[in-house]
Amino acid sequence: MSEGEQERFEIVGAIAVYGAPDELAEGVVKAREAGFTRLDAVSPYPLHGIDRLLGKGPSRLGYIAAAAGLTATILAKTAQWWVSAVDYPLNIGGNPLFALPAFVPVTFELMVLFASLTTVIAMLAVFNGLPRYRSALLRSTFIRQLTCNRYALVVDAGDKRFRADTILEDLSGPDVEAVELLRREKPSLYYRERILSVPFLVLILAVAIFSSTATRLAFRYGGELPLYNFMKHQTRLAAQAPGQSSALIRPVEGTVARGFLPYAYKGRPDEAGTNLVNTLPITAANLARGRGRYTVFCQPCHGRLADGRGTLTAAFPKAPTLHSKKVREWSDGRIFAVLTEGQNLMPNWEAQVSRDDRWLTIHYLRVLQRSQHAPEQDLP
Amino acid sequence: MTSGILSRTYTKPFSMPRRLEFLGIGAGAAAVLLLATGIWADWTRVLGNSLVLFIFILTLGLGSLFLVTLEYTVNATWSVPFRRISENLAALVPASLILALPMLLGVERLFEWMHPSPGDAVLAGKSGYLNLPFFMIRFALFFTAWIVGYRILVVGSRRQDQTTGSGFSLTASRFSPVFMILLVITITFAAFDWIMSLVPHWYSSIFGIYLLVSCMVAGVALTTFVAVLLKLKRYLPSEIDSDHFYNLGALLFALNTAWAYIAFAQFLLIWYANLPGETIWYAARAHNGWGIVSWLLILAHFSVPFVALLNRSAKTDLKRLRWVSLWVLGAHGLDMYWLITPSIRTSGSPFTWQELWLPFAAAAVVLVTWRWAATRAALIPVSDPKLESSLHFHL
Repeated sequence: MSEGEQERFEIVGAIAVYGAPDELAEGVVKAREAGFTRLDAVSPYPLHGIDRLLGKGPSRLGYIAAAAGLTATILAKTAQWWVSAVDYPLNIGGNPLFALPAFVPVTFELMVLFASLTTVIAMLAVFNGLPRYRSALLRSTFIRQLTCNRYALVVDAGDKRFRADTILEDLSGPDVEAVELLRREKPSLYYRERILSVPFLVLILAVAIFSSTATRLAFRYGGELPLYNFMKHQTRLAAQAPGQSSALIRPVEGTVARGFLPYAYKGRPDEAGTNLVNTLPITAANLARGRGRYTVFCQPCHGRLADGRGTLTAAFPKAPTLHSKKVREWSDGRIFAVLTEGQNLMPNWEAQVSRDDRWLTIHYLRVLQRSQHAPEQDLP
Repeated sequence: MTSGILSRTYTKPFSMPRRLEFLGIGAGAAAVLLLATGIWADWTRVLGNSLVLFIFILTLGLGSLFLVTLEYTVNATWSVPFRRISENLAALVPASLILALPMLLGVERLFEWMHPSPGDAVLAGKSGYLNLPFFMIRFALFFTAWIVGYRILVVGSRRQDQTTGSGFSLTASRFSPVFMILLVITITFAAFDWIMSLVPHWYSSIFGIYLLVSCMVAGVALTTFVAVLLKLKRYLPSEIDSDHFYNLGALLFALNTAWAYIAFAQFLLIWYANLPGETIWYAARAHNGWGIVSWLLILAHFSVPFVALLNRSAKTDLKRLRWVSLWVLGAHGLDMYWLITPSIRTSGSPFTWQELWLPFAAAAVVLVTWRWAATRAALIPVSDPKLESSLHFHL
């Protein structure tokens, strides 16, 4: 080794190479007996039990995994509770808003995700000190064999028993195939062992701040070049703003919109019953239209046959039958009043069903009533 | 016989200690006495409890048999010294044939599908499967399959002790995968037949898997318990150390968690869909005091073993393994009781003194069967070709 190399490199440890895992295990035991404490083993595959021989205590990785899992559990439960029961309560199939069993799968998945990711990251970054630019082992002559069919005992230079001049003899033995000192370049401003070092993190941070600031400034002062005609730049009417560009134009005073004749009997259904008459003709086309409206707006509660057996669940109030004597004897105008204004729990349909459609629906309702209460002359 | 690996102490047939024999007799006598005092009180109750006992013992046996087939199928090494224990416990399968008698005799009283109410379209539709002749045929088929498997695997293994060579091991490892598939199918349909059909209108497609996992949990728990006891009483060679027991503990932990997973999967789907036809089964287990039992089951069958076995050192600590495995066995017993009884008795409190005979009877049956099976051969499969490497197994 030349003088220059002596200055650039420092000894960080030594390795003894073995040909079989059992020999390595014996080597570990011997080294421990000789008083070495900072030992490590390198093998192409995990060797069960070697950690015990090396005198390493049980790994603390489990506690990190448990902490991550617990964090995820609390996070998942809290998030689901907040989203589903507090911030945006949504009734799903009548189940409780805070549906504990339904939250379990998400909690479980999040727990597994957090625990596994944290475990992998903690194992690499905290316990193994990875990622690194390079390890002293990579400079070893034997690194290729160590990933293939050789096993090595590594002694750290920080070991109290470590003497650089005698370590090679200390490690030698009948089973040992080779021994070698491990060297590393001395740390300098430009050379670091660990990637996750402070200068590296500062650099990453600086690049992130610079690039986002530069991008922002370039857009701010250099002018934005839209990729395409964004919606926010397109001409449009302001939906609810008053004035010229408003989309809501009030009707001219004293006029009504077509098809929206004001209802004159608000709050007086009996008067509507005596005064209003269904003037639309009973034709096949009109009945088909009425049937369509009935199917859309009435059937979910009152049922296909208007017998009150609707398709809504039991959680919804049950609608009455329309075959009662009362409804059958009501005039068309009286029923029209109910459709227009609603009654009890029934909503009003004035906005959804046009005036003519309401009359046609009544025609169809009469058909349904007659189908269930046919007068004698209808019988063949 | 390959000698030399083990000292003579471990190659002799097991001799049952007197204390255990007395314990078995005592438990049996207590069970008979307790049963005799309650037998005239409520006949249906006794029938239901007999069914619980039958299913409990059967699941212990099938789980042990499953463990044996598992070892041959995956060619496991660590479990070879424990295999004879599972084999001996698999004798509970033929033993449960006797315990099935009350179910066969009381089939009329136990199963609603035997006398469906007229106009019941659902049961009429299922009558092609749920009828007495076919039920009996299936019963015979299941037990034939299990006993044939038992004879080939267990009796063959005992015979291997007197031979050398790997002939039987090869046969067993070819037979085991086939038998394992057969076990899965038969256990699934046995669960449908003997437990699920107690409520014939209800169905759950995961039910067979539930019982299968229960079997495996029970088999591993019982094998662990017996192995730990034998190890602590020095019936097993010193080469069998904590590395071997670690695997049993890990298997128990994994299977117990799998049970919880399956049980919860079944509950979640039914709870979420909230259809009356499906929720009746859980409704019966949520009212009349059964709600507490259901919570107790979650606590005993999942929470406690999960926490107790989570730590790595817990799986190698024999003292802890001993009580956890016994605890899991108890929880499994509660599980079987919870699975069956609410389907039979819809009113009254879940437990009375009339159920007291069940644990005694179970203990007596296990001890008697163990004595019958274990005294026939050594506690270790002494001629197994993998024995030497398995004794030197290390994690």
